[in-house]
Amino acid sequence: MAKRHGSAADPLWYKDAIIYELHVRAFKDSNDDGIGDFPGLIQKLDYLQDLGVTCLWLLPFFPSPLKDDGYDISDYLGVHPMYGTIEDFQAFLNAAHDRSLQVVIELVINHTSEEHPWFQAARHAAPGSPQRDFYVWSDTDQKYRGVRIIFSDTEKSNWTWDPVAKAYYWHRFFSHQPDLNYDNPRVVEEVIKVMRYWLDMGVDALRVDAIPYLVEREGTSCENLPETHAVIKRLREEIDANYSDRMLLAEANQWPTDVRPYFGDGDECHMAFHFPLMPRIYMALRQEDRLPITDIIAETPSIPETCQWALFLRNHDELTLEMVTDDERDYMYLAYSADPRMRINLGIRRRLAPLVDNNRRRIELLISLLFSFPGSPILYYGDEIGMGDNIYLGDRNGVRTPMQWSGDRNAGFSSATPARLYSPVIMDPVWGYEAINVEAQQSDPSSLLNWMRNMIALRKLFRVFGRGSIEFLDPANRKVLAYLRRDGDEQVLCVANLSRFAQPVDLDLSKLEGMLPIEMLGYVEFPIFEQHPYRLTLAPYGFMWLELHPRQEASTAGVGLTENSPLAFGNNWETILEGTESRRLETSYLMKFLPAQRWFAAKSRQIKATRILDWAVLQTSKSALVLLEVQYNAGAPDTYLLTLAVTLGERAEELRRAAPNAVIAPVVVRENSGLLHDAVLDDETCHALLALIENEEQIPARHGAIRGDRGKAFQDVLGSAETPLQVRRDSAEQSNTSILFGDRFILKVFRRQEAGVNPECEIGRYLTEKVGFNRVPPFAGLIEYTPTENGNTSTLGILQGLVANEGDGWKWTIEELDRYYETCAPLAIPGNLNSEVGGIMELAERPPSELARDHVGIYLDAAAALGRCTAELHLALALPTDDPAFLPEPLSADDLKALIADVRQHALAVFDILKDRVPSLSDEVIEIAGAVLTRRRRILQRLEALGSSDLRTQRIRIHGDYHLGQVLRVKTDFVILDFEGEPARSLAYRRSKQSALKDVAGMVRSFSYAAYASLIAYIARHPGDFETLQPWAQLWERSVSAEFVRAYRQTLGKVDFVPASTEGFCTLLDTFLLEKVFYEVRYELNSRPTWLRIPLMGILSMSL
Amino acid sequence: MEVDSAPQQAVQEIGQINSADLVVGIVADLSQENVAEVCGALRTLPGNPRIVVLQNRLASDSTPADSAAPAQDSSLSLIPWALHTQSLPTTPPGSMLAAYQSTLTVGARLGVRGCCVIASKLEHAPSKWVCQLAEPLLEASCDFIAPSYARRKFDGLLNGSIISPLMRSLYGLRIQNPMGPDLGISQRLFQKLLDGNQNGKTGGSGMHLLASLVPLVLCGNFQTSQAYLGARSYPPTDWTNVSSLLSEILGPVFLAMEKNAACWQRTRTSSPVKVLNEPTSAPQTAGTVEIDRLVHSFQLGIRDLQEIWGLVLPPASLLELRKLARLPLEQFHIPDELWVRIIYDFALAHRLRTINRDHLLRSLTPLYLGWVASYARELETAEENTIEHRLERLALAYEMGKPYLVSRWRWPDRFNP
Repeated sequence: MAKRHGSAADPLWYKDAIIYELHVRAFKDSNDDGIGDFPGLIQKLDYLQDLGVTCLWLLPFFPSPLKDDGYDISDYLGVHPMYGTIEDFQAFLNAAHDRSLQVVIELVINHTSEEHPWFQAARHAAPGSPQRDFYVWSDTDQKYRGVRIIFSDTEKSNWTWDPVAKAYYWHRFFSHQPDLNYDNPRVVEEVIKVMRYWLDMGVDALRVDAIPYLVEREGTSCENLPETHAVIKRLREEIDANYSDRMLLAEANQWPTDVRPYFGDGDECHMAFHFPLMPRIYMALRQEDRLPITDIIAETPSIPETCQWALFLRNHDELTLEMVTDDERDYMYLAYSADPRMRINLGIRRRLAPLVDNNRRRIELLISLLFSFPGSPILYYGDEIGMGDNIYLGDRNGVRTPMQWSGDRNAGFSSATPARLYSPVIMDPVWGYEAINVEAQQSDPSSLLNWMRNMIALRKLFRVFGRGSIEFLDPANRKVLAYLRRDGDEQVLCVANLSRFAQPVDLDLSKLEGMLPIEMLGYVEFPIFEQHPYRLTLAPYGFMWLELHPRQEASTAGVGLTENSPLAFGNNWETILEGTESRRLETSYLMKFLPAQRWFAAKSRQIKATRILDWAVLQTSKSALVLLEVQYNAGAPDTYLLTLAVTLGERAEELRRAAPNAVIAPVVVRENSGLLHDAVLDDETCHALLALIENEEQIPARHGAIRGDRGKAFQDVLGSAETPLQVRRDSAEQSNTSILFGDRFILKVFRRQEAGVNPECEIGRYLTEKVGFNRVPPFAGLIEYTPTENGNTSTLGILQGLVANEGDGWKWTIEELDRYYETCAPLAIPGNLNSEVGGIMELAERPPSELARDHVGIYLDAAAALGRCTAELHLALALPTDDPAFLPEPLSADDLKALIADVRQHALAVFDILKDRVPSLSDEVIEIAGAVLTRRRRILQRLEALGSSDLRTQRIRIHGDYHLGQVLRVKTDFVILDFEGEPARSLAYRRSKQSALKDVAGMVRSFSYAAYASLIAYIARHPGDFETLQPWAQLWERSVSAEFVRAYRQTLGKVDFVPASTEGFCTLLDTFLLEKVFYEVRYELNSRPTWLRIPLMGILSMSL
Repeated sequence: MEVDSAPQQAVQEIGQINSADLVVGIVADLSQENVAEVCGALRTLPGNPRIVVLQNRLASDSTPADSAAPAQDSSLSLIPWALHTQSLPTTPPGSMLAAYQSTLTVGARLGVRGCCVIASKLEHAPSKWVCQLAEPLLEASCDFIAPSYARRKFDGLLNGSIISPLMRSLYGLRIQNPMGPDLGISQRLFQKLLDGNQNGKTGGSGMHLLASLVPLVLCGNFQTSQAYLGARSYPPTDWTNVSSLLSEILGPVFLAMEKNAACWQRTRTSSPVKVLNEPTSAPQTAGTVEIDRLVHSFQLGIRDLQEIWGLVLPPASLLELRKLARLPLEQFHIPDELWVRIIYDFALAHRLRTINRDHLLRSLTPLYLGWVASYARELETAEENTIEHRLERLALAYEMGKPYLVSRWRWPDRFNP
């Protein structure tokens, strides 16, 4: 016979193999004799190829009396006539190879059948003759005493008397299976001939049956002997010398440490079964505890690079319990073989599906473990469809019944009369072939067969399963098994829930921080691993395979693809706001655009992703309003409002030059190129927004609606102005975007969106339409968005009357201070300056001093005007009303205590941070910081004292974020702006009622900031000593603050919402001043260390 | 085609050559002047390499070599070779592709450093363009040199709409013409190709060989680059025989996908492939496409092929197609995302053998014609520079849609949106 090549291209093919174990007899009968055969098997090769297995392991098909299911061979070089001819086998082998299927056959060389010619010759040959020496003979059955009997149910001794030979012969298995004598070199030669016969034919691999028992020695267990290893090495040498891409698979039902030598140094068997793992998988499942598995894997030694474990859940034999302790065996019997008929020898004779009570999720979990543990998995025929067994058949025949192909007669296995079948098919209602068969499952998309096919295909995509290392994680929940598989760059995290109930698990994946896990079955991206424990929740018996990719690769997946390539703008906005282009917009352009915008609040947070939530097209222009979710690497996401427009041609280039920061992306509209940009730059868009309000239009969004609402003052504000009004943009705005229409309106577009009533609209409308308060810009309308899903409206923009002004209060004040320092710097510090430096309340009790009048000048009048204006605002907000949102509420002593407790808590935290940061502070600040830290105890005591006050006053709606930047200087007075509250706070907090003195404290602190910020700037322009000019700053700050407070109190008169007594007023004001100043310290420490001295000095200057 | 099956005289001539550095197979039907030009250019290659040029001359071609025939010398052997002899006259692409195999086989026999195939008549290429394909091979700096041509609106649409963006998305290499037809292959790479072919890994035909190139380059870590060759003359498209073309070309591409799934499913980004020389813009010719006839074919497909497409495409795609069929001509537009999903779903159905593979690929014809109509309508008035943008956009759609393909490939459940 001409020697044929093996079918595999890779010498390590077996490391990636998925092996399917079958018995020719049980698979398909082609000639209707009731017994499966090779032609039948050939018919079913397409099925196996379609299933996706890569290797077929055939149980013995050689001539045999079949007393041990073919493991009693009477002719090594033939095919049992029941199964076909040698030509049939060759045809099968070729057909399998044509389908890229490798073939493993049995090399049963520990023993032969008693009918084998070698044995017949031996028993008739003279003792000591070469023929006789083919087997192990003895005159006594006492040799090798103590060697265990494997088939203890049937055999009483390893020796059997042969009346012909008149001697005992040695057999480790059945007495009809005499062991060959490997001390006889001729036996080895003959076995090599047998091996070469099949390898020459093209067989890819040989499973060496009962490999530990080849050689016997007195005084040993006759297992795993060095002489046995020598025989195996000899077989391997023969293969390596003459064949390529072949494999030897060792069957050694031993502990892993005892199996390890069968790999040698890569010079014995290529593969070996991992017997002890299998029962422990079942044990772990039943006990809902991963330890049985992790323990046995921990006891498994490493093997040479070219070697591989063969893993299985079930096979043609019993579920062997040889490799477990007695207790474990008892547990397994109780757990998996309630009926004693299910037991045989030291094991359980049942198939996979019946073992797990036909529970699909349990089957899937076990298969997931089999496929993801280190080794090559073996599937036993029929288990892919969940076939049952028949425990009423003898020996292990209950798991060797005919393959169930269809619901036809004999399960489609054979057309013979049922009585002729080698074994009855399974026919009961649950497991019978009418319920469980290939044909039915092929046509059922949700069948176990289809699931198995998908899993096999998936496993084959990842080399790591066959070749990678394994590392178990150690989560607290032992019902969850989690392990990492690694092979070079390929990494997979497997997590399995062994419990019948859903389980949470926290995995420590900090060393994989930054990796992006992708669920492998559905290719679904999961959150990136971070330092903190990674939490997963697993369904009952759920498992998860996650392939791990470096974050950089994942995050640039989109960016890398989209850089510099224009977005395709088709006929409508849908073309870039949905589908592929929207992905590019989200993953690339917007991630770059957002951080560059002044109104984007989360500049210090790393954007993980953006997602378009909803969008609408403005009817009168080609612009769109987009609600965008911005997700960060940590913390809750934000929603932002984007206004988008497209400009083409020359105008686009002009826009790019004039406002590069407003450009979002290049676009192509048909053959024209242009830019996608912030639509605020587009006049037509701005007018469309105004028209939306004026006409109270409603435009549909994808998942909601956008509506304009005109305020009562709209027409008054518009007056007789000619339309269209000229559009301008306010460049000063930070957290929002303002559009100015002529000298009439200002539209403030709220960028950061939050569902709920917007306080600015609420207060503006209330003061304009209900109270008639004219120290705020008149409310002229709003734009709001309502999603269909929940109806939670959010405000997109507010329209107000434009107030003619000399700039905002901050700017105006800084200019005044510039002049102040210019004037005062050359002057000597007045001797009576110290008398001006006292508590604000103390100073506020009297008119400004002459010194203050002389130097601070007109700003004292401005401060008084601002004090009055502020008081009038609070009076307006505290008016009796039936509107619950504005109805004053009591501020109890308990409320105050809670407030002070919060301030104290915050102060403690800030002291800690400041203490930590002292070493990193600049020289100018470090001394002041030290002084503040030394006052820690005194400040905390002061706060405690404040908390004991028995104040009874009211909470009202207030400005909430009151400082000089929130007022406009209008001639000799002020107008108050921006009732949004602190942007970082929640909407509910910003709408809550609070003490009016919070606003007062805000403005007092703003005076302090103005005084020192201006001084810092002055020193920068005119190098000099900060300390020298500081007294002037103190004079200004103190006198202005006192005048503000004095005018405020005077204007208020006696009201319920502010303590009437100076002491009470002082207590409450100090509380809010401390709250504010500690907030400032924290802010400056984190964001603006050069200004840290301002709040620190604010603390030092307080009367504590 | 094996060397042994070549004309006796050619075999003898090859047999007399002990070794060579480069084999150039001229598959295109070039005039003697052009062949002389190519040979002249090859002689300028640095290092005086030994070159064997196999010139395609049909067995029936009895035209005597004219005075323009290039002179032969010790550095260059010009061997007439009936490269088309094994092919059927009705299937020119297949016949041409057999020539690739023979060129590589001769290259392997002579132990050359690289093989080039010249399959195009190039209109505006400089005479030394062939050197762009050959030089990197001789320098051993590159394993695969793919051609890059000046784009024209309606040329190479099958490549532009499916092959190039699909391969880019799968294998992460931005190659304009991943299947040639002009190309250069290093000894390392063609040996691997031939080995694969022997092992039955790439199938039998030259098309399988070309479809295996990019997968092999990516999965085998071979170096690749592109050579800009100018404007290529494309044969006029026979719109009545598109189904054969689709079947013949996409079949091997989809098969290569199946074989290399483990490799392309780990590739998540694409990267540009260096173009060795500076592209120049090519003059535009006013190509014409009968949009209304193509749309009509698409609409006929919607009417007649619903049953087959129902096995391949998910309901959302089917619904979108139905809506498209009802659109007036002036609004007819197949969105890129839909087109990409269609191709991915066909690739998946090919893998799953949902229906007979040839029938499957032929049933793509009306959809492809619909895409051509949509593309043509979109670019009717487009300028030259927008073609690159348009096809780049499509390629990005393929890349963006790749997770859809991977998820469906890994878990091909019919119950999907």
